[in-house]
Amino acid sequence: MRSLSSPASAAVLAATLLVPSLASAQKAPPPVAETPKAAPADTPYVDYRVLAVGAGAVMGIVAFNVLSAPLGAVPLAGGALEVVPYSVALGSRLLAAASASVGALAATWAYDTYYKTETDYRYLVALAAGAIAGVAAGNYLTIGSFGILPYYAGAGEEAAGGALASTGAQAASRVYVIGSGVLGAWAADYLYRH
Amino acid sequence: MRRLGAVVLALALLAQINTAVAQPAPSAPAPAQTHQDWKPLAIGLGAIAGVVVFNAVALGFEALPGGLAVEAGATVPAEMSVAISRVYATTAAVVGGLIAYYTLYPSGH
Repeated sequence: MRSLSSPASAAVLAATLLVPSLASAQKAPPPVAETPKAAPADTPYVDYRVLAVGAGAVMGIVAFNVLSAPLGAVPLAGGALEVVPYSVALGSRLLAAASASVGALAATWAYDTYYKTETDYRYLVALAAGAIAGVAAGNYLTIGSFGILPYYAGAGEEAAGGALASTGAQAASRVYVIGSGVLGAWAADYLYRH
Repeated sequence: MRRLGAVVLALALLAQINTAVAQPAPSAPAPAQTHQDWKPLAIGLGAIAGVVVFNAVALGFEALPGGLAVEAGATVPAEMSVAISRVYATTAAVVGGLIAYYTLYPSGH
């Protein structure tokens, strides 16, 4: 039942950034007796399920931003927002991709252990790595660096010397992280299967 | 004798009917097994949980949506607001991805 999880998971991973699905390699179409020498069916550049999940993920975050706009850049934050340096915003994208990927892989392992299913973890890890690489590439293309990882309280103050992201940029950053992660996962899917 | 023959014939017919009734009815075709693939859902929830757990462990509960751990009138630091934003981004992406997946591939194939 490898097919169950593969692309779906990947998609999810990619979506979450990460998130991708599982693995199953595409099954070759059954040979046709009358035309034994027929060329094998073309393999899609990217698994359709990964494509679907990735596109859905991007649409999901875009819809969230549109619907939550009246509530501010970060709804239910609990107070007024301090300005966010670009380096912190970009580093946060990497943390999102990494933590979501780890969580998705752990959930896959737990699911397989409980339900006795199988997953191609090499494919999953490839998708997750592709998503993280996609986010990192997006960061570098944005300001020429990968950003500062805000993984402790006070990280924002230490990076306050850099350029500051507006509240609108903060909301847009959510779309960038999902978009770049999905593109990275799609690229990883292509490289893994070709 | 005719009467006896008629009775025997009637009993034979009745026996045949009983035999026919006793035959097991032809089994109806088994309903197709619909196997729902829940692994993508588990993976998506795992991704969200990964972000939430990281935020809580590294930054504390102030880094989660809701602002329950933020004092009234306080300003939310940069690392906290981007952490909350991570939860929203991941959750929205997972929801969108799962909707697309289960809409286009309801059975996982």
